[in-house]
Amino acid sequence: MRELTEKASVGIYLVQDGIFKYVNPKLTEIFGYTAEELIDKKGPKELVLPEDWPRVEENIRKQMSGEVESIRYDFRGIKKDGEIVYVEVYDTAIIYRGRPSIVGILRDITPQVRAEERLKHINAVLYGIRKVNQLITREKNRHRLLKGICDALVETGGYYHIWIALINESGKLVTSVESGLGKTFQPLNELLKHGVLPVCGKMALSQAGVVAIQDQRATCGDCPLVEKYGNKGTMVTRLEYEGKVYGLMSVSIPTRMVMDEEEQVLFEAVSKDIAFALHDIELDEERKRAESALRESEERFRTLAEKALVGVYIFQDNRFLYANPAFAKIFGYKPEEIVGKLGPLDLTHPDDRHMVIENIRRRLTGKIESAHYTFRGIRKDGSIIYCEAIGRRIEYHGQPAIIGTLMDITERKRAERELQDAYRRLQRAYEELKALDKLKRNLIANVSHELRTPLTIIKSALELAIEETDPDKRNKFLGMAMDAVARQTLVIDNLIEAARMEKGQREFNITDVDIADVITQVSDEFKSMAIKNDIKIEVNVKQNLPMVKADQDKLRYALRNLISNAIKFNKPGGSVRITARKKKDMVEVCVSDTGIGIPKEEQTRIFEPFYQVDSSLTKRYSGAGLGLAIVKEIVEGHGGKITVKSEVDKGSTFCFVLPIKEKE
Amino acid sequence: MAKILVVEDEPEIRILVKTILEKAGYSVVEAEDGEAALRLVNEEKPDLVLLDVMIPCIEGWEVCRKIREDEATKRLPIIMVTVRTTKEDVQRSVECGANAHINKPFDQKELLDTIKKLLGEASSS
Repeated sequence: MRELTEKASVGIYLVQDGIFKYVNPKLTEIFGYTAEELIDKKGPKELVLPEDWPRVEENIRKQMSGEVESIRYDFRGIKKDGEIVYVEVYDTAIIYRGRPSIVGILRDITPQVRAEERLKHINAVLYGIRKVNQLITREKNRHRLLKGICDALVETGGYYHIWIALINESGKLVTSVESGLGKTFQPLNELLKHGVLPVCGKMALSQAGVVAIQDQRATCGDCPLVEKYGNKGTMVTRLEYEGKVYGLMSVSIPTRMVMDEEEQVLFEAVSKDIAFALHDIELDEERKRAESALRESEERFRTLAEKALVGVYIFQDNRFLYANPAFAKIFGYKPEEIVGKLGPLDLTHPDDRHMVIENIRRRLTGKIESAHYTFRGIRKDGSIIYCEAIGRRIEYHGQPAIIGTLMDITERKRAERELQDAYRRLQRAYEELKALDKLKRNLIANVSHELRTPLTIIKSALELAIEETDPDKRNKFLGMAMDAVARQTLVIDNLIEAARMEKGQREFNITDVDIADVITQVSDEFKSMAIKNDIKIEVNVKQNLPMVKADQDKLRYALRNLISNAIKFNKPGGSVRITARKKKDMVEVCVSDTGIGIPKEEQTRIFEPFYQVDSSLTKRYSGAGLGLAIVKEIVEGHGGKITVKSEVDKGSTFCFVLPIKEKE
Repeated sequence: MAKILVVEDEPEIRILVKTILEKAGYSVVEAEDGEAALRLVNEEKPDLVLLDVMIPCIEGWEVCRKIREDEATKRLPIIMVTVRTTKEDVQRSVECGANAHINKPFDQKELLDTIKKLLGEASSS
């Protein structure tokens, strides 16, 4: 019997009065004591974890009192080295040596319990991980997610406590969350905030994978958590996804589980899930930031475009995709009447469309990047404006489009045109002034010529006449002198009339004048001059012409000028034709010649004072340039009108009308 | 018998000058305008030219300049006979290379003396 108990694989004991009376070797092995240390010295109370003792004591009482015959139960025992051992006992009350005692069998069930615990714990962790993954899918707020993760992993009983610290690229703490620590975390958090990492953190950051610490007291130095959790095991790892470290996570679990491969695998798995979630949130934030930056920039662009004072537009395929209010206003539309409905050509003047199309084509085909040009636009009301456009090619929805700005430069154009007009007017005035200056200089030369030429004839003719003895020849010279005197007289008359005209003196001595008489007399004056110039004078005056009210001298003067010109500007062998007829309540007098004629562009100017058709050809016909101006003044002074018809090289016809009745 | 080209567009003056010159023993060639004058200078090879300023086609001063430009006629004596009588006009006659400037109306004697003097100088040089 003794041998049986000594060799048994279960612990066997006898307790009397709370003290071991027998323990077999297996029992001593289980608790780490020697038999001598237990027998007669210690009792069950010393081997039972104090927490479990009341239950054990109650079971013992039940045995001793005979309530039950035998009983089976388990408890946690304390080994000599303080370690816990799970045991199962079968107690039976007996009477040993006349005294009630308990004999029992004790089995070490620690491995079973531990296995169960491990399974339970792994389940708890798995459950926690499930909750973590649920959170990850729905929680996009970083802090709330981490807090939720910590709480889930602690609440499910996976870990005693957990803390997560996030760091930025330069290794500085960004934020930290915890669960299961509460106030205990504060000192560590302070350290983290100052960039001081605990031992476990340093270890985790320096290497991938799980760092497991079994003996915190030995390893963790003065980490503030050691005080409370020193007897626990710690697992710590960095939160890493695709090479980026987001921070670290530390948990405490029962020490004996720290080295459990499966625990470590699960811990690493949850850390990876968390790191992925952080990465996802980061991506999300980046996307949101980019989106909001885009929105902001779009908003800025739109505000700028909408408020811009210049027209802003985008078009594609001859349709506006965008037109700001300023653009629409320039063309007299509302933006919504333009966008999607009209194209640039609808707003372009037909004459400029070809040019605009060409400009658009060159940009769309990439020949040029941008163009700056002006064109005429058409407003909604059909009015025409000048536009200046600067546009460049862009890609819009993958297709080439044109974006640009446009300004209404109608006012500027108008101002430019006015400036040009003013400049042209000034230029013309300057030219006229120059011409007038030249005319005045010519006038002096011409007057000198007109006066000195007859004088030359008179002087030379008289000198020759004086020397001449042959009476015929002498008379010829005297005749020449006489003609020259007549010519001189006309010139002087002209000058006097011109001087009067300049002073604005118009004295008309109006009487009834027989125009036919005047024509006959004046044309007779030119007989010898006509013969000398080989010109035939024809007079064709209608019978019974009414008398006109006129200043006879001035009328003569006018006729004299016209006939003199008709001879002067004629060609040898030509003719001068003088006609007079009644025309309504007027009498029309015409003097035609077959001479050199007057170019069309000169025909109105010949009536200007001092004007002479400026050509060297006419030098031989030079005069003071006053005749026609005076004639016009005289005719108009009578309430009449003078006109000219002329063809170069064919001749000219000057006609004037005089009223039959006196001018009112 | 020296030959004189009279360039003058006023027929009366031309007739009178021609009469004066012929009486003085010169032979006379007449031109009405600048173009004819330049042609006749070459065709008739006159010994002297009386040149009016205000003539058709080419102004007298310009005719004078052209005569001076031609190697064959650059020494031909030229007298401007003109109604252009201001200081500037005389200056222009000098500039275009005329040998003398006579204002219209002129004295017969003055005209003939000038011609004689120029022909004399021309023959002696």
